[in-house]
Amino acid sequence: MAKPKAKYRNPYLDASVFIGWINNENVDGVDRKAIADDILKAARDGKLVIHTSTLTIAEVHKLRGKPRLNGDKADSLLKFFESDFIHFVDLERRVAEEAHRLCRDQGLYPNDGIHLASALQAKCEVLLVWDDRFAKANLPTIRIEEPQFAVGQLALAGEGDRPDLEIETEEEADSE
Amino acid sequence: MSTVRLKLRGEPGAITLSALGDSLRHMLKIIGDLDYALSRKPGGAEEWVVTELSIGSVSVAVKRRTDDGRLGTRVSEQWVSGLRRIEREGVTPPYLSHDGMRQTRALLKIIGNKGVSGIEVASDADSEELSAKASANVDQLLPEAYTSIGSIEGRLEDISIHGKAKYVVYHDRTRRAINCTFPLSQLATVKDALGERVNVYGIIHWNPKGEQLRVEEGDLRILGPQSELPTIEEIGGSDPDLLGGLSTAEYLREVRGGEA
Repeated sequence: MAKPKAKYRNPYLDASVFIGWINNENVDGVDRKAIADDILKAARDGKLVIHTSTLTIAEVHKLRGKPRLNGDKADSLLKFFESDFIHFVDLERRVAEEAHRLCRDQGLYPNDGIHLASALQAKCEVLLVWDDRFAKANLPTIRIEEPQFAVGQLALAGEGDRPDLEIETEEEADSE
Repeated sequence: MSTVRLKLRGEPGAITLSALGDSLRHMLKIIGDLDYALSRKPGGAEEWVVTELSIGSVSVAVKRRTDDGRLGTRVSEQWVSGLRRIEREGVTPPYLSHDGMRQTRALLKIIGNKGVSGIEVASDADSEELSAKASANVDQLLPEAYTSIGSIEGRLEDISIHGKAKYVVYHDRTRRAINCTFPLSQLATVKDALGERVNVYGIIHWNPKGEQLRVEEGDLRILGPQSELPTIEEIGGSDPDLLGGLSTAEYLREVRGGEA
């Protein structure tokens, strides 16, 4: 019997995914922490590859005017972002120029444009975001959608803690 | 044991001795480059021995002198898949250093010269016919097109103080080899980072295809070993008041703009 594949191969995580995850959000019955947990654990276990922009590191923070993150929590977050299963896309010239074009062509705000341009730069097949900010964007090369369990619901099917999953290697994916 | 093969196509009597000599020299350098990157063996690659040699279209097969079976297979797979990516996709393959890429370019430049009409590279299980297209593609991968200030992340696996001091970082995601130069005053820091996952911040030189080629005078930082970093379980849900009562959507409107 063929092994089930992970839902995603190379998703891009908007900062909102990390924010909802840390914030333990539950919106309209959707347990965002559980879903993000599942995606991140799948990445940690090598089941999929996740990318995000270095902008995410700056965006995952307390709002101005609200109580600050205490030093330990902030340090802990920064250290977490050193994890080897999170791949960062730098905001360099090419990404910035693409973001500029996306803002103009797709009606995006600049930071949204940076995230989408970063996802395109990393050749991600999907940008995962917990908001409808990208509703106007319509690109043939990438899907934009709310995160879903990557593998967790498969684990509930009675195959044990987590079934062995197949993901395509970069070489396999590139050859498609 | 796995073999690595190279065939020079050409009419009998047309392929010159210098084409054969040059091809073998470049082949040896490329295999050595892959062997070094994959074996992580200090002091250079294992010796490779000739197992087959035939004439007409000149064909040579080599294998590792000593091998547990796995490393030779990986080198031979990369030998074919790497050159295939250059031929078909025009991208830099994993593990080949800048010098390895230069050797690859030199090998490919033999196509159409000295009686060689084509080159085939092969392993026991796979093969790829290389054409002048691969040669044109590799020309796009070696030159520097622009620079930016930024960082790369990957494993530091090779230090050299011959000529300009440099180390090689194998990129986390692509496994491409990126040269990073450094002042000798930082040698102790660099040595401490050997084998570690690092972030190198500096002037990044890119090729025309948007691939990082090298980092100039990079500032090196060792990234925490995964076992010592906060875990997913520790960070997830750790701050239910992160947004001070706002939803994620409201927070994004605050920091990025937009309407409710």
